[in-house]
Amino acid sequence: MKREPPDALGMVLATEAFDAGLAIERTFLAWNRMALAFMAAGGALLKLFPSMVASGARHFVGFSVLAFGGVLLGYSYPHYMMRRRVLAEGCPVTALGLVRVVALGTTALGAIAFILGLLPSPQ
Amino acid sequence: MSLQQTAARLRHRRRRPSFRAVGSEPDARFTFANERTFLAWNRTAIALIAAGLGIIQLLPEFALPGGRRLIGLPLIALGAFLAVASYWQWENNERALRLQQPLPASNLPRILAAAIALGALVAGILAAFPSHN
Repeated sequence: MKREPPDALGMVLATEAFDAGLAIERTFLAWNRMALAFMAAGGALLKLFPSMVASGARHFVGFSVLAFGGVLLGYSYPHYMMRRRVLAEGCPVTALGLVRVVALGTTALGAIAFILGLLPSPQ
Repeated sequence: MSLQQTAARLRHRRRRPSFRAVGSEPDARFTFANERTFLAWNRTAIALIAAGLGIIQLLPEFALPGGRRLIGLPLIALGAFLAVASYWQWENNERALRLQQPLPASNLPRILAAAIALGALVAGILAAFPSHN
């Protein structure tokens, strides 16, 4: 990863000056927990439900959810750094796209789980 | 609320301008707090979905046939609903913040608490039946 520009320290201090509650950092951590929740759900779909459906479909769904969480986790840090810069410049910080993607992802996971729940379960 | 009122509210929702077109940029800390609340609702939704699937797939069968699905499927449906509802709430909060209006009251905590209490009641009744094995 590219090293920070020479004025990075000044930027950090400026950020902390008007974000003393470290709201941006807590938000970054919340995104991380969100990503980990998706990854755990994907792993559970892969590992805990061997009898549920044909293995092809199960692998596709499980790896998709796992990958979704992984991409979110990988993106959370660059997004945090980008936001810190944006915040220091006093520009809008609303993350409409990311919020929409996560809302869609959780809804899709719920729909998939509902269909899986209708399939025959072990005795 | 009557069906007509709900329909009128939905029409109004569709006609009003995007929240990004109204008001002015709020304090960034409020935007972050709104976002964290949205994320917390989504984690709750995932936990409900996982609990529902776990009940259906991992528990031994109750004495009452279909008992696992009776508890699990509503939990999963509630999780999917919360994901959508938390997005609406996030957008409404963002709009109110931009217009410097009071935040709209949320029904989600009440719905969640009622659903969990109801689920526990049903699970308790199901568990009270003598099992065959």
